[in-house]
Parts: sequence; C-alpha cells; structure tokens
Amino acid sequence: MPLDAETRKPLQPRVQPGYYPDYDVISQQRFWDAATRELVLKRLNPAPPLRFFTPEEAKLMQVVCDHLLPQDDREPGHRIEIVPSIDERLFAKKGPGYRYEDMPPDDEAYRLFLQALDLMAPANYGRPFLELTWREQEEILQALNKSRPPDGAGEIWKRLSLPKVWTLLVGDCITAYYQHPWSWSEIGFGGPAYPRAYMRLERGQPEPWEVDEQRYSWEAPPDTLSDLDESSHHDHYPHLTHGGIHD
Amino acid sequence: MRETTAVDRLVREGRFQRALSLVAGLSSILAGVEVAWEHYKGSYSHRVMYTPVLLSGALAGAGVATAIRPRAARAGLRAVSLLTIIDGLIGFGFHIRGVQRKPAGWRLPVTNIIMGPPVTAPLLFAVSAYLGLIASFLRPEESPGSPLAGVRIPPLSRAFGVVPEVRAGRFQKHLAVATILSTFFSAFEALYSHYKNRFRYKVQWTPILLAPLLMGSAAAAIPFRWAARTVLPFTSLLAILNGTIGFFYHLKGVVERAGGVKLKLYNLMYGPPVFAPLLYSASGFIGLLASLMRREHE
Repeated sequence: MPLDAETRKPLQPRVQPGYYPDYDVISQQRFWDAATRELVLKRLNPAPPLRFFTPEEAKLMQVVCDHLLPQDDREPGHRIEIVPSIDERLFAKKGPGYRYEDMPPDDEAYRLFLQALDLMAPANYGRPFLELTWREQEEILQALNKSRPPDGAGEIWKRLSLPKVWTLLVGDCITAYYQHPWSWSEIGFGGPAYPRAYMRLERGQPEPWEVDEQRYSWEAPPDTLSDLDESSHHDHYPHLTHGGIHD
Repeated sequence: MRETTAVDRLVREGRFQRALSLVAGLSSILAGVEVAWEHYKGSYSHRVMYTPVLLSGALAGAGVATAIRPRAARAGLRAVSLLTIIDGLIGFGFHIRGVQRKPAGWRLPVTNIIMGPPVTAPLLFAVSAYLGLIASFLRPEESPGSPLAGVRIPPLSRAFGVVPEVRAGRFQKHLAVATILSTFFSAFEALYSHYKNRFRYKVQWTPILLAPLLMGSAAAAIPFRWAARTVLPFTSLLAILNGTIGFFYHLKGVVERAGGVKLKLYNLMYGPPVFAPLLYSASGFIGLLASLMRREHE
C-alpha cells in the first residue's frame, strides 16, 4: 500500500487513484467516432475465462503482475485485469509479427519464464514462489530485472534471453493496464484525439473538458524494493533530494 | 462640438483623401504580413490563398500613390479596394468551408474554429480595403471648401446618391455601422484566440469587454448625434489604446516563447499574432473617424 508522504499512513484504496479526481474519460465518448467508441467500450467488459494459462500458471502470473504493476491503490472492484489480457493474446498467438533469434515464440517464452520462477524460489528460499513473502518475491524479481538471475534456472536462461523476456512481460503488463479506460481517467488522458482534437497545445494547459491536475505526495510501500533501488541511484546524484517521495 | 482644429475641419468636409489613403495602405500592409505568414502556415495549399497577399501589396501601393497624387491614383485605389473587399468576402466563405472540412466539422465548433482557419480574418482584411474605398471617394486635403468642388461623380454612384455625401464628409452613420462590423470581426478573433490560451493573462479579457462598449456607442451614434460626439470618440480612443497595448503584449509573448528572439521567424509564426491587436485598433480608428464626420443629409 502506498503511504501518505506526510502522515506515513497507508493511502486508502480508491475507485480511481491518480491526480485527476472526478475525471471520467468515458464521458467524452460522444466525441469519438463509432468504430473507436466500440473498441474502447469493449475494454470495459468483464474479462473472458482464461484459455492459455493453466490455473497454476495463472496464479503465478497474477502475483508477478501485482509486483510489476501494483494496484493496491485501487478498490478491489476497480482493478484492471492484466492476466486475462495477456492470456488472450497468447491463446490467439497474436504477436508483433517478428521474433528474436534467441527467443522462442511468446507463448513458450511465458511458460519457460514461469517455470524458471518455480525453480529459483525453492533453490534459494526452500519454498515455492507463491509461498514466499512479498519481500522475497520482490528480491527474485528485482534480480531478474537487473539480469542477475538467482541460481536454479540456469538451463532455462540458455533457451530464453532474460532481458528480452523481461521486456516482453513488462511491456505486456503496461499494454494491458493502459489500454483500459480506467487507467486513462487515472492519468488524465483524453482518449482518442480523433475527431475530438486538442487546441491548447502549449504550457500543458488543460482543454476545456479536462480537469486540473491535483497532485498529492505519496511514498512507495515499505515492502517494495524498486523504490530503494531508486534512492540508491540518487546517491550518485546528490542534487536529487527527492529520495523515494513522489509529488 | 465646435470645429476646433484644421484637421477636424478637413475631416468634416471630407477633405482627407491623402491621409485616409495612407492609413488604408498601411493597415493593408499589416493585414498583408499577417495573412502572408498565416497562409504560409497553411502551406498555401490552395492557389487562392495567394490572392490576399498580392492584393495587400497592390492596396498598399495604391494607398501610398493616392496619398502622393490623389487625382491620378484614386481610380486605381478604388478598383483595388473593391477587388480586395470581394476577395475578403470570398475568403470568408473559404474559411467557413475550412472549419467545416476539419474532422467533425461544425459538430465540434469550438475546437474547429480555434484550430481551423480564422473565420472572420478575411473580413478584417476587407475592412482595410473598405477604408481605401472610402478614401477613393473623398477629396484631397487642398480642395476648396465647397462640398462638391472639383469632383466628377460617376453616373452609377450618383444614382445611389451616396457619393456626394461621402465627398462632403457626411457619412457618420455609415462609418458607425462600419465600426460595429469591424469591431465585431476583430473581437470575435480575440475571443476564441484568447480562449485557446485559457485567458491566462487577465488583460486578455480587455478587448472582449471593450468590444460591446465600442459597438454600443457606435450603434448609439446612428440615431443620436450627441452619442457620436461624446461617447464614441471616448470608446474609440480606448480601443486604439487597447490594441496598441495588445500589440506590445503580443510582441512580448513572441519574445518569451522558447527560443525567443533567436528563433524570430518561427516564434513570430507560432506565437501570438503580432499585428492582430493593431487591426483591433483600426476599428477604434474607424470609430474615431465616424465621430469626426458630419451626419448624412444635414
């Protein structure tokens, strides 16, 4: 849970976190063309059942996605489903139309990656990945992020480029999250610009139908590692005094 | 109001052809520069977009020529002015079509008026040509004081009975109407352009608030002689002052853009339109002129 930067208490989950309270991009839908509107509104439908991931894999994926794109600032009923979106793509074998020489097809890459997690966790902590504490899971994922894989899955990294599968995973999470209109409202994004255009193009001024940004300060949850990484980074740049505070 | 100065008397008697020709020529240069780079921004995608640029040059030339040799050049000034007014009307049509042809057309009126071609700008251009047209019917400053001395009135104009009035400086109501129209076109441009900038500076409201005052006093000058002599010159002077101040604010806006004076041309092109406030002043100028005129049929 992210913390309030002043009181250091957890911020309560919201229907819509972010700096744009009461902004709802869907309210702009009559300014989109019919095809776009249909496409965007479809993303609000409940996720279809999983067809690619096995139930075990899906659990693992869910935890990984929770680490990569935490949504505990959102009320449980208003979290954006990421795993079903990736599942759909892998089941339909939809990809960018190319593949790296040192990478298997995307569906295989995901299976191998999840296997690697299942091998590394017992090798280093003596328990399966899903039974590790949040902090321990963070440690494994952060090591993978830095391309310094913990022991246990050496064979798999010979068949799978770690930096590339990491990029694939993070990219898919971002795509799944930010295709959803809820995330657009969260970041104050106006949705399709066609035929609705933008007219206030300078100095970051809001359009008449947009809302003013209302920033608040927050700190990353105490059990996350990514922010620590950021502040150690700041040690090299002492003039950056923010530490882990976002405001 | 008594005729206090020589200038006042010349204007009242319609003997200011040289001066007004010069004003028309100069304001046409301002409008011409503005239209040249606005149409450059539109990459001269249509050949007709060259016409106001060429005509503004012609009008400037004819205006200056008439100021120097009125009798020789005023026929030319009249022709060029008429042509430019027609061009402005055609341009108005094209600009309306331009807004309509933007994505979603008139279903997104605010965005498309702001992002599309400036709707009333061609009419503002026609306003400077209108000054030229008026000038072409006046008498030079040195003409004798008798109302119709030394003029040959074209038969068609005589039929309408307007020209003798103009020559004699009796067209106050006519100029009051011109003031209303010109102010409206100019204030409309200011309104949506400043709205585009979200009225970031309070001073951006001033041309919008001043416009109804100027238009109202010009309207009052049509039925009431006293309004033409008291309120109209006051609001007109305010508009001239406002446009002049706006000119400096727009210049400041250009200089304060990223790159400032180092990217002169770029910032002139994409910053606030530098000469637009002076066209607002021109409305005030017409109002002031109206206040100095004699009334029709008196």
